[in-house]
Amino acid sequence: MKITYGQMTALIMLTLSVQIYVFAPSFMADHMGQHLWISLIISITISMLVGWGMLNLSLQFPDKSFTEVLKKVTGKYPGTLLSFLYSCYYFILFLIHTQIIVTMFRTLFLPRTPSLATLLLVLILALYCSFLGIEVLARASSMLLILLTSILLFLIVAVIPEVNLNHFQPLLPYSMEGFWSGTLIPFAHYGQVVVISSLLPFANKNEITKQPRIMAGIFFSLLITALIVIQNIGVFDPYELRRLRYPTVELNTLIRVGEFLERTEIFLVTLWAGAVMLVVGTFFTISWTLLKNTFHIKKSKRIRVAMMVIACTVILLFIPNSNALVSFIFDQWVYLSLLFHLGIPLTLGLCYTFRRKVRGHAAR
Amino acid sequence: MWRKRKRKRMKAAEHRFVSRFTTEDLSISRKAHTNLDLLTSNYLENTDDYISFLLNEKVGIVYIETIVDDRKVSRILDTLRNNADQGVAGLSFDYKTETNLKNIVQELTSGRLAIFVDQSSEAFIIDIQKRKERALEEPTAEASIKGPRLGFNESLKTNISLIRSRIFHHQLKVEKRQLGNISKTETALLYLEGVANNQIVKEVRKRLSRIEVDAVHSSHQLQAFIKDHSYSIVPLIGSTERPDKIAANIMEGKVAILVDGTPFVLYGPINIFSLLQAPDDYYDSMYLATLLRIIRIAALFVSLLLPATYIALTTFHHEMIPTDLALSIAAGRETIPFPALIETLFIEITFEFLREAGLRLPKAIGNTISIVGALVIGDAAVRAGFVSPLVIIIVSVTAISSFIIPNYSLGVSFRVLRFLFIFLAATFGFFGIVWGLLTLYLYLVSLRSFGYPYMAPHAPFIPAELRDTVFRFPLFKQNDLPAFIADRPALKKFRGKKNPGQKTEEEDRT
Repeated sequence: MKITYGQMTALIMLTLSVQIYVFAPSFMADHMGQHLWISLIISITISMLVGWGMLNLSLQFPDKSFTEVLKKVTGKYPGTLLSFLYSCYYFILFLIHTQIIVTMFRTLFLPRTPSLATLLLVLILALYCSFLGIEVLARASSMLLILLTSILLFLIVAVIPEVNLNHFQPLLPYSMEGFWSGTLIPFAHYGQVVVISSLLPFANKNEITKQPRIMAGIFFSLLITALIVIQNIGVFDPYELRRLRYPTVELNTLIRVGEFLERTEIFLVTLWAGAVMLVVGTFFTISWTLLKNTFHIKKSKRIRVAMMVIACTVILLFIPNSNALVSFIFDQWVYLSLLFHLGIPLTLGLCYTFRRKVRGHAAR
Repeated sequence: MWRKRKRKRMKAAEHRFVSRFTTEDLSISRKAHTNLDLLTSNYLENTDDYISFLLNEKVGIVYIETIVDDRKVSRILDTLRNNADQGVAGLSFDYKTETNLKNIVQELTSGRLAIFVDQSSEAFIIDIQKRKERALEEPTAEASIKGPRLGFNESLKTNISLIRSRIFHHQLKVEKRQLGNISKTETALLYLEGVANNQIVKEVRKRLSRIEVDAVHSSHQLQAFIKDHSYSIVPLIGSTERPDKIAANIMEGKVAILVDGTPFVLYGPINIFSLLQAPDDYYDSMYLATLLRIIRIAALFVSLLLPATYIALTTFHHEMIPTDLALSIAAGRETIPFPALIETLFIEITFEFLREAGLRLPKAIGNTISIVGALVIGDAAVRAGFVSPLVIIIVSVTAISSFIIPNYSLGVSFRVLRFLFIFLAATFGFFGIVWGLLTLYLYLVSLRSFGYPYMAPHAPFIPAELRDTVFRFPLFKQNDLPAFIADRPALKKFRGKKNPGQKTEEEDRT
């Protein structure tokens, strides 16, 4: 069973729409203050280029899985290695997203519930997602994307009265201090656009590929999430923003619906949580698919359960709470992810451009 | 080891079919009295309503008196007595011949009469079945205010005629087959050729042919054999007593399965939204229909989530409740010794008891018991400080909501799921509810009805087909046949005007 390009785009948009505004605004404000919009524009531009490159490269090899594309472009052994590395990359994204949702609910709504319980629940759902497969996740993503996008747009519109334009002054920076590290943060999130290469093999090849539509969809997601990050600066000034752990949740608390509903953020966070859980399932499924393709694994149930046990152990040992998670994302992952978001895609592009044999094979 | 066990299980299952070891295959004898003896001793021993006798010493007559028309029997016997020289040829009945006793027994049990003639190696079978048929009445479970009042009854022929009287077209195909090795129940597959997707028709045919069971008593029994996911908690095949609904579904390219002896006709493929539609949606204005559909969807969520939300709010998310309401709830719960989970479960389970008791008791007493039980037990429980008044309100609203769901099977499914959500909310608050909702959503998205996505046109998202899901667009806007279901290129429905009341450009010019 294949998915349509529309469903694939929805799934990519969903993966790009759930993470950046959780922790990143505080850290970006710390590096760049009110000028974080510049780094957002740069990272969106680079991400769009990477996404376009990966999309076109994958389209050169229709009916080939991402593992096979890597092997074709770089050779058998390097391809196998890269495929395994990407499997690990998606596994790490799966861990990060899992722990984001677990720590957020623990901090905000379930302080007495043991993290392990909520963690197990998320892992079980991810396992279930992997059994259902990408096709079901892609079909489900459309409605969730509509809901999430509506919430994000509602948030943007509802908080506009609270925006103080003076917080953006001065508009342009006087120096480049913190510029690169400030740009790496959004790129670590937006660079996840490389997921396009792993999802494209699931798309129905009989359908006409609408590349501009796919890219427009991706751009829309990046734009909305970027607007939320910028709005954080507008509402809280950069100094206040640095001190907030969940700035967008704080943004939610500013929404008032009359005097009856005092705290509406639970509804927004709840819907967001639904979207994140689907993304968690997607990343795990992609990670598993890549691993399966890399090592030609046939019997899979036990290995998937083993992967869950590993995930649980890694989370409990290395990123057990929000402090450890934030430290991992912003001290290590933003740099490490460059390899997958820029390093390997660039290498693949160069290999494809300069290796005649590969181009010839793709044309055939 | 697993394979061995599976093989053993299969073998054991085979022996469970009564039909596998009851009927012995014998050819008929050329002597009439020998055939009667064989039938009595080998097949119809201890069958007191089985009648067999010799007429004129040369002709043997056999039938089962409880299922045949007595007048027809008398006419046959009179003809045979008076025109003995002409034999069976003198009868004014259609007949067929059989040479095998096993088949003859099957015919006898289906209400036929068999005639054995000396020196003949064939038996003559005459259909004189007498069926008791209920009059056509309004379906009780699917009443309509503005729609037709006619419902199916238990007769297959009558039911097919009710559908045919709504679709006068030669493309309406009726494929009959017998199901059940012993019961030999007549079933019919109906579809509109050229409109129904050929793949779906083939698939249904294949699934029906695969059914191996001793007896088919109802259409619901078939569902278990032909639905895509055997263990699905929600109904994957529609079932109705209304001929207008079946005719409309056939016109949309769906298939209908009729089973003799039951007024419930199966149809499919379906999606979850079609189960939330009521007949009156199409007999009323689009505004009212849309409003009612939104109310039904809201009721679906309320019946699933209201008790769970109450538990989550009172156990985990007190800060979410507006202050005045929180104080009122706290005052109500002050004397209650149990957590919210226990008090909700207590009232929910009591209500389920009352509901089941109401169903089993005679109608007049059943209603009284339900009302008195609910009032007395509810009031007493609150006075005794067992539960808070709010829980009574919540459980009552939940129960009323569950009755709003038009499809009974879907309502029952959501009743079961409600308990799961109650436990999830009691353990994880809103997080548990979201987790449950997403899991349920993914599960529903993964389901298919005869290969058609169960959550379509929402997942997969097909905007063009949203015209008849939550919102009901004007009927003249619904001319396109649904994707997947219909065999689109073969035959299109008539092209309707965009708005029948509006003048066309040409009319304007003139």
